[in-house]
Amino acid sequence: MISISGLCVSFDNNPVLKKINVDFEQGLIHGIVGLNGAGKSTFFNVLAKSIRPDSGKLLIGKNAITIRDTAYLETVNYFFKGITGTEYLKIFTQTNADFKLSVLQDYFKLPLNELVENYSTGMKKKLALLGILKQDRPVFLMDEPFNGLDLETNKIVEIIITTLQEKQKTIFVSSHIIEPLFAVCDKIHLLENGTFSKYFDKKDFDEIDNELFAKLKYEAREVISGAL
Amino acid sequence: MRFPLLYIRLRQLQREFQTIGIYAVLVLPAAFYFMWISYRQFANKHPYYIVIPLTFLCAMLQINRKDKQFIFSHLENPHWQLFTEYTALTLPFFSAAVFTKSWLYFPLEIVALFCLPFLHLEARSKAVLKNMSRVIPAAHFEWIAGVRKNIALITALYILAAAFCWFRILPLFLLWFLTTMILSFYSECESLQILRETGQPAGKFLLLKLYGHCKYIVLFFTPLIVVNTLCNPEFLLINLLFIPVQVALLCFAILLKYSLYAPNKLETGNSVLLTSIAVLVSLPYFLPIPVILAFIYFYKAKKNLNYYLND
Repeated sequence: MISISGLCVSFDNNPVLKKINVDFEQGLIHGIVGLNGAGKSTFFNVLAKSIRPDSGKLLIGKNAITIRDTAYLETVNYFFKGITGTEYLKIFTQTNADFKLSVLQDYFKLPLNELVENYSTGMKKKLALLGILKQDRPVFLMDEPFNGLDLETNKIVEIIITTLQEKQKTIFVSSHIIEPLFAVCDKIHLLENGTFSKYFDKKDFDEIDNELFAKLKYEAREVISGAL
Repeated sequence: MRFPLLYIRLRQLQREFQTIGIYAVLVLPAAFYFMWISYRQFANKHPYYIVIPLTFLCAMLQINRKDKQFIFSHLENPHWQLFTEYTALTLPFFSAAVFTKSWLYFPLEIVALFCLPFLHLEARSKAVLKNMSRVIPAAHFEWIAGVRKNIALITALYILAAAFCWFRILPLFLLWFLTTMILSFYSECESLQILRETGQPAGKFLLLKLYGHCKYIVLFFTPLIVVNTLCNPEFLLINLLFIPVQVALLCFAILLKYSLYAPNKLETGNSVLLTSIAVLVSLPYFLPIPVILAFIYFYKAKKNLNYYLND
């Protein structure tokens, strides 16, 4: 179990995550959804230990989560300028013994000998994904992994996520497009106003659309029809 | 005529000065010192030492700058804007020619700078030396990226230094120029994933980094310095001090970067301070400065990295 208790994060006295108490089952794929500004990326950053929380405990089993427990695919992927894709991947020591670049490269088709700064957004996402897949970590954090990917690669990423789960990894995935989450997640957690307000099991995924957008759809229809 | 580009540069300069804080006091003496050196070169009838590097620097700026399209699309008299910018940048150094017998180089430099904005070459980032990670480990990505970006200039400077390595001082000057270029490799912060890759605590991470990177300077510079010392034994002391000072400068550059490290951040403001320190160490009294700063910044860098590397 990954247990989070009393987690609070604020920026300049502006609370973003408000006393989160939640348990995530290990070995499952957890979707994290919420509207813009709900705190999804902050939550991922806290789990990855990129941001220190104001208070709270993060445990994996009985131990505190450490830097070496998580592999993190960020929303926006930053690469040091002037290095090639191959060099970027070489930076990371391969701790995942099963990782075979040549096999994945057949699907990703990245120009690994070219400078990363000349890659498209989707290519950068794929390269960053390869970087984290080289590492054998118990928890994978993927913030918007489907952003900028073509349809075929979207499917490949879905397959990668489910394969990681088969290897007993715990995966946290967020997405602004909800359909890919329906395809891969075991549970989807709704983050609202800085706290997890609800979670949905696979059988209840149909309710999420209503839960998230019911009010918005009603209000927006009224307002937009008056504005156009 | 309005000069918005100069105004923007002035504002950027003010911001850079605010970033470097108290060390701003070092920038002015360094600038004055370099102006004095310029004057000496013109007075000693060695104007090429000043005019060629300044023109080359501006030509590189013209080729590499990313704002050309903006300037030519949105500013009035774009050629004048660029010309005034290059002139403002270099005038303090080549204006000294007016007071010497090499005065002719003043109008010549003006003409050269006037022509530069008409140079419409574009620097395209191409992956040269694709197998560099076989020589330099990928973990030393600053060197891979830096050498790749500056390979032409690095090769030219090193060949020149090798070709003149029996001369007095000149090879040292060329190698010092090479060091200032190497210091610019550390103006970009890597992502957190890369930073954490070694899995080492902050102190050990820094020591490994310093050792790994400084050895390149030692390996690179030592052969030329040895030959130079054999040809000019009277400069033994200067040559003995040269590599340790360059190593101290490199250590300071690395530690300065990590003292201000934040994931994915560009630390362009550091280059002003680093160049100033690099200029200052050519004065004997200021030789210990990078060593002292390296010690001070080791603790600052360690403290900053503890936030990112420790659980």
